[in-house]
Amino acid sequence: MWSNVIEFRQWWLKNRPLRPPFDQASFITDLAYSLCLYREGAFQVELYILKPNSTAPFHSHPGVDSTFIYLGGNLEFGLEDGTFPDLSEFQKPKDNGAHMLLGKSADAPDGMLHSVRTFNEGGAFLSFEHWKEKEPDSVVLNWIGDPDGETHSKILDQNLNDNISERIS
Amino acid sequence: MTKTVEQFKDWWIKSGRPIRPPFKNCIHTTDIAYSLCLYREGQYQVELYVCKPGTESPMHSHPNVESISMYLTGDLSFSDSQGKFADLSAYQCPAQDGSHMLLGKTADRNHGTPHALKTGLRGGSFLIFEHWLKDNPSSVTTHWEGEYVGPMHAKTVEAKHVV
Repeated sequence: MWSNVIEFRQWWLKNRPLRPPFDQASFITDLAYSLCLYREGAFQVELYILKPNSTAPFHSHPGVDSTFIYLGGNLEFGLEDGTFPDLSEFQKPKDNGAHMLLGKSADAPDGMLHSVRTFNEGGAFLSFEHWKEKEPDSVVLNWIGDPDGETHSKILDQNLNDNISERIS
Repeated sequence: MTKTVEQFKDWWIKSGRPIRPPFKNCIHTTDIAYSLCLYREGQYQVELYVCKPGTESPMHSHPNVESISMYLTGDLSFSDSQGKFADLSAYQCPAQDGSHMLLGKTADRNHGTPHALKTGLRGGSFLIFEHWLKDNPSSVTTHWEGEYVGPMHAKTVEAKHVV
């Protein structure tokens, strides 16, 4: 088994198993559709597909170490200081037709503020996660910060209510 | 060398499911699903679709595209050319390893014939392996003959929103 999220990421990228869980596999917010591609114990990898021209509010995922891998489209991850790096010079294909940024990573350790924004092409990335305090579901539920929009707000409210019900029962 | 969509599917799986989204036309969004092209080579590609819960597409076709859909998770089914959906409710349960019982199962090969998709309350996800017989591959979301699923889909097709 893996001792941290980087080990898990290395293992998954080498083997690329696709085994979405039956429960809590997919989530939809105002900004993104997600699918958990693989979950084992306290580790999982989620695929995020983001619609064009959107920005997530800066947020964090308490108790979760995350590292992101760029897949495609035109997206930028916001940094802890609230800025976005300008990646426009990398918006071009490699010789094999893939995006120049394919495989590049960005890290968001436990509690670190971050964000993501997309341009005309939308964007897609993998989120590798180590859940240190609870069973994994999705980082769109384990979210501190303003929600993406109304849909996300409803999901967060429902999740909070579910957790309260579970604690009461 | 891959010659059929089945061979491409088998090759992609046997090769360790390579993930190499193309720079061009890899992400598409509609009112009911978002998709990512995971791998494209020549006239072949595999797209991953994540569909929202409780939706149904109109009957439609993808002319000159041969395809095989592979179930990943959630509650979804494909219709035949008459619009008839198979009842998969008996399979809506987890396998021993926590995945969906239908993970890896495939629908019949589609030869550009009409079909539809519907999801239950849990939404659904699938892979679609495609062999584009005439046009350059883009996405079956935009290479679509039939009524669109909604205004967002129409916008994606008309504007070729993702270029």
